[in-house]
Amino acid sequence: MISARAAVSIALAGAGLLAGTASDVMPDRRPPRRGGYLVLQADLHVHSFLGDGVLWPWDLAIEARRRGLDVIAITNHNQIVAARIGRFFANRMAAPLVLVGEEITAPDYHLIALDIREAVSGERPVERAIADVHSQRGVAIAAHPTRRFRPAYGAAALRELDGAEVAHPLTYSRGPDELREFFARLRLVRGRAAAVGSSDYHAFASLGACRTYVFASEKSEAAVVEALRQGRTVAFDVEGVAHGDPELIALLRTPVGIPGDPPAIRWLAIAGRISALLGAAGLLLLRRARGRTSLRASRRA
Amino acid sequence: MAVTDESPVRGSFWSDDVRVILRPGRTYAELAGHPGRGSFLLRPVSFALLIGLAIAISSSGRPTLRLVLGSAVAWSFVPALHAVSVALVTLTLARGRLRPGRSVDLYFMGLLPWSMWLLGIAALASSTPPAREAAVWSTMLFTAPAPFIWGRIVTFAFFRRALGLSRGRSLAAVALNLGIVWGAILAFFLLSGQLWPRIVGRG
Repeated sequence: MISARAAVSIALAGAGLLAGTASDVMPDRRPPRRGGYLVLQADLHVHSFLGDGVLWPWDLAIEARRRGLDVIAITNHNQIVAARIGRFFANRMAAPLVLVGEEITAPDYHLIALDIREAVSGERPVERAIADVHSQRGVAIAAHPTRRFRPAYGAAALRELDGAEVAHPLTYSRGPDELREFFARLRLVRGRAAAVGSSDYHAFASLGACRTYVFASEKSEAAVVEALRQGRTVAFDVEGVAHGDPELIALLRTPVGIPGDPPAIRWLAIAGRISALLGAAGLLLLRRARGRTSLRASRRA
Repeated sequence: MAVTDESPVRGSFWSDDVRVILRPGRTYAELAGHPGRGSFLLRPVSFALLIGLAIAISSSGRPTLRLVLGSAVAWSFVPALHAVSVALVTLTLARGRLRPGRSVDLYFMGLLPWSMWLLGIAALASSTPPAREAAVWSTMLFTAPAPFIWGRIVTFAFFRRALGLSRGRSLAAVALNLGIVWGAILAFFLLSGQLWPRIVGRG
């Protein structure tokens, strides 16, 4: 027989799950059209389970929709298995587009490869890795190119890069200068290049915190990849400074709002998590059984 | 989140799990003499659900059934590795002392420090904006040694008092348990190419 304390804990945990599930509603939004393009919101650097992220690829796609993203790229380190799974499910759900990607990870550089069919090895110089990505008709973007990674990117590599992350969560603590400098150098060498904002999501609530505004002709993988190749993107760094083509920045003017939950749903979610946490803690910490047997009786049993 | 306890002590306010982590030697000796009730799977499954709950709350700010169950399934290899390691030690080093199922049930009581740590991190992460997420990672890094060390002490007491192993064999069992659980997790991340970036740089 369970104790009253256990019954209350179970009720709290159950109520928390019910409230949490009831608050699992998705915003209904359509990407705006500016200057003849659809403005898609993308997070192009996301890690999932089967890699070092915590969520299943399909759960990532659903959470991305909640955060108002139209496109994500699943980019586990040096493999594309989870990205393929995510793309398979996303194509069958009302979820954002999922691009098959990889974070090609080498000691001296990290490179995001998008829309690839086979994993690219990081055991070669960055120019070779970029060439491998392009041979698969993919897109190559420098991942968080801080000063530490800068020596790997010579002029030859910069000429071939399609873009670089200019907004990334590490700039919350380190400031935006390092990524700004790299992007300025990239544009100097290459002319037009895709300005990319990515969350480098692994866990917690940062999915879509930094994002890329992609000016695509339609909502399709091919159109997104083409826009990236042409540098038709805008990203806002942590100080709110816009990067990308000035004409596109003028079209966008301000970041398209990131949808939040309506107040009632937000409070339901908060109540759900508090209730579930208290219920779980109660079940762990408090006595659960009511009837006590004596030590002697239990030994006889 | 297991819903049974069978302590023969009268009038205790706290669960057996709490008593185990506060007085591991004495409580394990006492519980080992009790036949136990309920399925031995209850605590491992509860631990998996707790991981799922922590992931759902920290990722989405809400415990949806979809995220809780999905994440529990994804990360169920963690309690599975714990259960396998304890069953192996019971069958090889402590033959006949306890049934492997009972042994697994008692062992999982000692994971309470990790359970509370997970709930604490989930609560912190769900109330921290993305711009301050580095603070959550730092908190995780600096607080994880506490449940790790506490867990080792409780596990040693489990092998020593519940399974009745000698001091030397208990230490060997702790090392074996540590090797199986953390060795398998490290091997998974190394083989899948995910750990190397953590060693060589930010990723």
